[in-house]
Amino acid sequence: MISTAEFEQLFFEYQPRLVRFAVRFVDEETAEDMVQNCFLKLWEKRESMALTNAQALLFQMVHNECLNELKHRVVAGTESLDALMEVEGSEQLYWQDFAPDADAQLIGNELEQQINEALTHVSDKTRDIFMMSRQKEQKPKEIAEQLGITRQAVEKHINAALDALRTYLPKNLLPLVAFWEAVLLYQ
Amino acid sequence: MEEFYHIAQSYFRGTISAPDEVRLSAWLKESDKNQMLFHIWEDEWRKQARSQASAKTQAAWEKLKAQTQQASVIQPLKPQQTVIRPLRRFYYAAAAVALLVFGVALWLLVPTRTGEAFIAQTAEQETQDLALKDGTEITLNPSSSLAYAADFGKKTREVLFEGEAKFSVAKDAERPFIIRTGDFSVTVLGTEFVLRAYPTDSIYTLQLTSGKVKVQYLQDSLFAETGDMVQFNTVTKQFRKKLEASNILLSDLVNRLERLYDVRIEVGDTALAHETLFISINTDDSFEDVCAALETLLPVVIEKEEDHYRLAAQ
Repeated sequence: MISTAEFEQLFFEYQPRLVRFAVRFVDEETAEDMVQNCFLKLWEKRESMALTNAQALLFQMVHNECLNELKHRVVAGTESLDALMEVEGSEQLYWQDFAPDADAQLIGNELEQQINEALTHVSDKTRDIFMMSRQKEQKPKEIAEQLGITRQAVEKHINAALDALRTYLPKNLLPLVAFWEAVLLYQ
Repeated sequence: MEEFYHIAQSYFRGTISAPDEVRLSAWLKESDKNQMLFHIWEDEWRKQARSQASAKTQAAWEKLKAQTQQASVIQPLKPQQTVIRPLRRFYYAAAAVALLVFGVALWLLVPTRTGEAFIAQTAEQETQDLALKDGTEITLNPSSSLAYAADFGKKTREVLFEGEAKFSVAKDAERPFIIRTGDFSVTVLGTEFVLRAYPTDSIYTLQLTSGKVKVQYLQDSLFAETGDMVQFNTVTKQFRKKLEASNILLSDLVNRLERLYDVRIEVGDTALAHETLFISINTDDSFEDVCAALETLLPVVIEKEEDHYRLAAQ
């Protein structure tokens, strides 16, 4: 049970650094909204929550929201994968602070791993073409010329890869129960 | 060090730069002492977070408050579920790791500058006597740590503590001595007691030898005086007070009971008043229960008169 006073204290104590964490992945306004949502979720669950480790839970929620946002952008194809995964600064610092007993799961690595897994559902050729377009930011026309196939064929491969990502990139929901179990394991 | 103090502050305030994140992260990994310092600074931040919130955070809070009020109107309150189990804050784990200092204790004296601190830690099977500059004497029991900021004693006397220790706190009415373990704290005016608050404990205990203290958890607080034992349940966040006294004179005990239960007790026999006894009373016990306990411990009967109680030899 988290009291109203405890909740308010949590907010003022952790909101600034959680927003700063999210800002590395998304724009400031989105970051603030994300953190706001996480606090609101915590508020709804406050009856069944212990105050201890509430900040670790908040961090995990914000972390997941960021990861989901990046996945969304991968599918939308607005940025190259490398740009999404290369963020300056130290994500590690936030892990040291919020969950020092856990291994840091850096968002870029997690995203990469999930993308690779989702792409096992398509052919190697489709995957390679998708990576050429998203990682090396090559235009379909360039890829077509390089591989000696038509531009339409390249686009078809890219669309097939995107379909696979839409289907197989799991959304990181926050299974509260699972998270608490994870917390217990760290003890 | 002062440099990292400022970097840590910017981290708490959410304004840290990317290169500073990297430096702070590396600095924290460098030593246990650095982590302890970080927690002292964080504790300082914790107290100011509300009053020093940026306009943005303040605005976000107002917005959230509106949303939560809306949510509570729409949502029926869920039945309260049981607390999962005592979970300690993560950073205590880091502090526990910090205790891997074998042999001699680590007693760091750092020059007094902003953000600097004194840290004392004991290893397993080691105790250590500390003399603070205000005259307070502390005996740290094994696997315990105590830290305070460099400005200790100037305006306040605050220490961060975990583990078990005996405190003999020097009197200073203007600067109460405050011992903090997370959100749990003990405020002392000048007294002697043993405090046990290991991060892994589900119940913290304080046994008061003499004097008066205030124990506090967030807004919840209670006073304890000579002979009292206070327990704080870290799971339910509830206090429990016990009166525990060894070799207490019956006359003294009667005085305590009078104040505790707001009753008047007349001791019928002067010889009886000099009896000493060992007694442990839960303060949530009823006065009748206490009387029954006394009647079994001593050859006495307690009878209710019109407006007071009368204690007499059997």
